[in-house]
Amino acid sequence: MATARVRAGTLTQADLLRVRVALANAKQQAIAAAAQAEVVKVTLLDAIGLAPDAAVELVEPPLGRATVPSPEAATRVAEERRPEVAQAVLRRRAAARTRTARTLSLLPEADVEGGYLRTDGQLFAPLDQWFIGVRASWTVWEWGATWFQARAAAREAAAVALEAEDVRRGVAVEVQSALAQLRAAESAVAVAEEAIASAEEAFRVEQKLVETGLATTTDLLDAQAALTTARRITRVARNERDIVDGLDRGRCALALVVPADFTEAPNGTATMQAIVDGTDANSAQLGIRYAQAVVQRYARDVRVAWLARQGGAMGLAPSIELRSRAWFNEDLASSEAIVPGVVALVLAMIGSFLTALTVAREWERGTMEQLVSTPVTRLELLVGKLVPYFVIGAVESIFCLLVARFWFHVPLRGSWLALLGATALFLIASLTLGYLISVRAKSQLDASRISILATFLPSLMLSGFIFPIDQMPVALRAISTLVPARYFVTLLRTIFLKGSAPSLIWGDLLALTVAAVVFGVLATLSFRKRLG
Amino acid sequence: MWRRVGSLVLKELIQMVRSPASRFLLWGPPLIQMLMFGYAANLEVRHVAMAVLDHDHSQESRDFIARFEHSPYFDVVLRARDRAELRDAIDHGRAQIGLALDAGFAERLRDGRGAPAQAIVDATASNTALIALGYVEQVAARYARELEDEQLQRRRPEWLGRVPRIELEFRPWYNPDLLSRWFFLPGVVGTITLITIMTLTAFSVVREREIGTLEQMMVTPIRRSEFILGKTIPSYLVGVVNITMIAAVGRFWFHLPFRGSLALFALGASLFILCTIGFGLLLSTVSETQQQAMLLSSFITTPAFMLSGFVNPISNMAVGLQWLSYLDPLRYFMVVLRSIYLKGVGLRILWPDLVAMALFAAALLAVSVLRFRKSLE
Repeated sequence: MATARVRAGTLTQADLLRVRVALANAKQQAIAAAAQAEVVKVTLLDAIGLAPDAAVELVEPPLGRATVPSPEAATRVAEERRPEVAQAVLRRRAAARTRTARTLSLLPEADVEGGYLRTDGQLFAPLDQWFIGVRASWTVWEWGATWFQARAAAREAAAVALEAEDVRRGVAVEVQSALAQLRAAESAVAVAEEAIASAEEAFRVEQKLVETGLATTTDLLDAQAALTTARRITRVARNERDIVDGLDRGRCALALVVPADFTEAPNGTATMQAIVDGTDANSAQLGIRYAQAVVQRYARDVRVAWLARQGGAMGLAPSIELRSRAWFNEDLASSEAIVPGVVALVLAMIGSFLTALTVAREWERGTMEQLVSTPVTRLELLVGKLVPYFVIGAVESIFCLLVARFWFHVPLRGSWLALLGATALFLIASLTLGYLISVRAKSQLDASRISILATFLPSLMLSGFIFPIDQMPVALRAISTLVPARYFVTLLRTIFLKGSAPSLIWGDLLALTVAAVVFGVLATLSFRKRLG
Repeated sequence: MWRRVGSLVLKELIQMVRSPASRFLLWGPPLIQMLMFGYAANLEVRHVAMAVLDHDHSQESRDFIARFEHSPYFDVVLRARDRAELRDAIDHGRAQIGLALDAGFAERLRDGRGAPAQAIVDATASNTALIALGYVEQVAARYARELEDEQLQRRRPEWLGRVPRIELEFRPWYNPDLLSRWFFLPGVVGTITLITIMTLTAFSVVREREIGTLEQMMVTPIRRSEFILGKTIPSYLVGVVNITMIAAVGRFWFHLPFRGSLALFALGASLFILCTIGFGLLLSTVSETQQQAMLLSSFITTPAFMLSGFVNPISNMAVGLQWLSYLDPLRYFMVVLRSIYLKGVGLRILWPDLVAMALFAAALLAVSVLRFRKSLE
């Protein structure tokens, strides 16, 4: 009986603990969300044009759900209240009036004149004259000037009108985005509120259990203390939940967290946090670089403005203007670097696959005995096997190169001759490699597996096509010198993007030649062994 | 029925391990590839060969260049005397990046006018070039910042600590050291599985046809679906062994984190292996000769690899290719692998990819049963 009670007690204690934690978490989240909502609300109010301190009473209510104003209404309010908008509208009106005035001054002027002359006590002079006259004048000489003035005024009016429209739209966008943020924050609050509700429900259940005597009152006190602690936490916690979700689902790759004290950071150094999805380290690195560039440019502007406010002293903000120039591939277009690599990959596969099965098949079908009985020599056999596949491979190569040049618009800075020569050499090297595999392997299945092992993946991974060779460990670099595709990728990139001066390409051409000869000799030699 | 399938499976397994070469080819290549590519798959850029051209010959310019000499990212391999030498070094690939400082660098720096520095990068490998340029920018920014501190210290010490600045802190989630190996290795697991299983199954039917044992098979009472099943099970077993092996290498040799659930990994891997078997069997039933099957399989493997997002993010591809990539089972498996290895997310997020792979596997296997029936008549 006692043990049962104790067991029940421990169970409840564990439960209570869990509930406590959940409750604290939920509270904290809710508070964070609410705080964020408040921040956003202040931004919104600022956008609408109220003074930020007018919103003081809005900062207070902790977990209330504020009504989200409709976008149209908010925009209208903003247009009424924002000083920039009013100014722009007035300027537009003034400009329109100037234009009208200038245009009107082109017209003839008509004056009405009246006069009354009072004379008395003079001889011969008539008494008291008066007249009314109409005078029309048209200042023909100033037409040109006036006309141009009118035109200038009209242009200015148009410009001012556009400016006003621009300001109005800017305000509208600001309001819209602030609203969107507000709505997002609002929904976060709602979620957190639900969490609190459920936590509170759990707490009530716990309380009931306590009342029925399954847990001690100390537990209850603890739980209550935890609740108060949770309530007391008013510090703005970063709402990382949304970010976690965004990154997990891959919806965003970079999240920028601006802390609450961003504008009033101590020591003048504000810290921002950028959270990146590091799964793709390469993209993440590029993302970091772009973010860094944007932030530093902004920081520099702020700094220069601050220094100027403090009274000049421009020499205090030295900077280095880096002018980057990417040679051979001005836009750093990855397609221009990748397409030659893909060509190499395709040719490496076609080349060795074409021949890899050719001798193995003869073995498998038993036609090799017939071949051996003919007076054909080993060298003749090699040449005879290579020539037809070389023709097929050459046609495919030319097709690939044409596609690279004219479909993908990879610039060709070297000569076609060098390009075709390099391709032919590489093709021969691949074909002889395939032939070597074919001679060594017993069955077509093995031959194909070896040729994949020896060509496809090495051409892909060790050729420098994707991964830079000079960053590999020494052992792999040594292995990569045995991969013909390595030289061909370098050759293709050089000939396509740099040019085909002999000093640029002779080394790789030589390496390909050596590879072709070595594979050919090895194949011929091992062929004899197989027959013996 | 199970007795017939069982004996076919047994026959296939015996055939796989019959000769020493075939035995080795079952486990050797995947292991070697995993080890090799685990080391090769690295996009980080260190020790970039750099050529410098200093026309200013001032304290500042020397200081600035010294920053690059002391950085682990750059090796200053050449101090050029003139532009022609710099150009030549980059043309011949002796240096990948060139830094040129014109006369007046120090003077402009002291005036706070923005001192020009030119960075020339050999962009034939565009990715390396981009990353290296990023490092140059960072070095330059840090140098300018320190110079600014120095100037402030000397001329307006009271402003120190008040000049507004922004520090950008980076927190790369899932991969805190931004190791690109962590990104590529799960992909290598998928790619090796694809290639191994694809070649194995692409040959399985057409080989029997070419050798002539298929006719013998047809006179036995085995049914078509049983025949396909008997071909699928051994390949599946090989696939499971392979993927376990290379995943273990990734985990214990390369210390790749494994944050998700093992059960989910097993499910994803099984579905993917079945997809690949489906593709392979389909090829095998449509082709006449082994050579044809091999070329067809390379015709499938290369696009499958390129479109899977292994190297280039799918979101950066042309729209048409993005649509096409939905037809690529490796694409889904790549997502599953990376998410399980690095992010540790669960079924809640991965179910669409798993469902897609299951549909693919079912469709491909069904089609290959149908094709097989037709091809015999």
